Amino acid sequence: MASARSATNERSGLEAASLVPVVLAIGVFGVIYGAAASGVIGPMPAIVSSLIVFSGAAQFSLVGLLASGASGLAVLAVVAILALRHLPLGALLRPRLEGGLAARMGRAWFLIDETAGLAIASGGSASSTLLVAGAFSYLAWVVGTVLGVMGADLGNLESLAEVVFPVLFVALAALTARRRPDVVRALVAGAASLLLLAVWPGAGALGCMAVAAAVCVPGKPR
Amino acid sequence: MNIWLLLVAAGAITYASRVATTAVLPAPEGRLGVIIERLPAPLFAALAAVALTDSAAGIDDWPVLAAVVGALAAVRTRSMFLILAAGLVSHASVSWLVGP
Repeated sequence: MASARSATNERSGLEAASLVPVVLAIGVFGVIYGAAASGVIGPMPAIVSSLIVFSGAAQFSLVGLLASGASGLAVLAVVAILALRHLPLGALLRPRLEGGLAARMGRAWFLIDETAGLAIASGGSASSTLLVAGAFSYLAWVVGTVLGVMGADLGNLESLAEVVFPVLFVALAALTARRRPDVVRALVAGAASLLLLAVWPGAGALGCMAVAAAVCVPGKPR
Repeated sequence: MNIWLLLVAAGAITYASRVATTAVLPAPEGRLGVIIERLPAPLFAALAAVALTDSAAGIDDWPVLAAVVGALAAVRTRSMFLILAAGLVSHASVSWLVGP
């Protein structure tokens, strides 16, 4: 009994350790964002944007569009389109989250692709995983932004950080594919997404999420 | 538009999208409920494709491909830590082999 408990604790510790590369990679991208944003919108708005938006896709787009002279309304339209990716992630998390409306609304702040994936794939409490992974990711994003604004030098960390995300999502796909049909659908969605991005690079995450949803549409009942 | 107003609006839009299906809207039922139930693995596979093509190195970069293959090789362990470690070790090994 004691050895089983020790093995379980050891496994939980190992799984918690998997947060480290993910959080570090988010921090590295925070540094890149801080450096890029401070030149366009100024140091303080760059930091505040990470504090109140906490979305790499939205923030990088916001800065890129402003740098190219887009209007505020155009920027907000793009932010709204990018935010659509949270809808399926939230719907996936909802049945797994414990607590009432206020608790779910609080945890929703930490919903990003990575934390949602870790919460869904975790064998334990999705609420706790979302909270812990989210808090560390948020901290890393904000601290990274501050360091970027201050001109921190990343060295070769950027290329290493970039590889964390594809590997993380491969791991999440594998861990959430619990039955054979899940595996088949994941393989089809991954291959179809690569094909879509090859012919239409602008399709981005939303286009690929639509592909994943299309793969999951049930057949007509007989 | 004032930059502060823009940031607050962007934050509000982003949070609204996070909270909508997590807490406010009713849980999906019927065919949509079935889609949501089946969605996790295909969704993360699709996001893996996006992350792979988004990386500056690109999909035809040997170390990045090695990382994905290394991760796939460790899938049977069903451990997030071991899959990530296998991917990163494969990336580092192939980067060292092919050089800068």
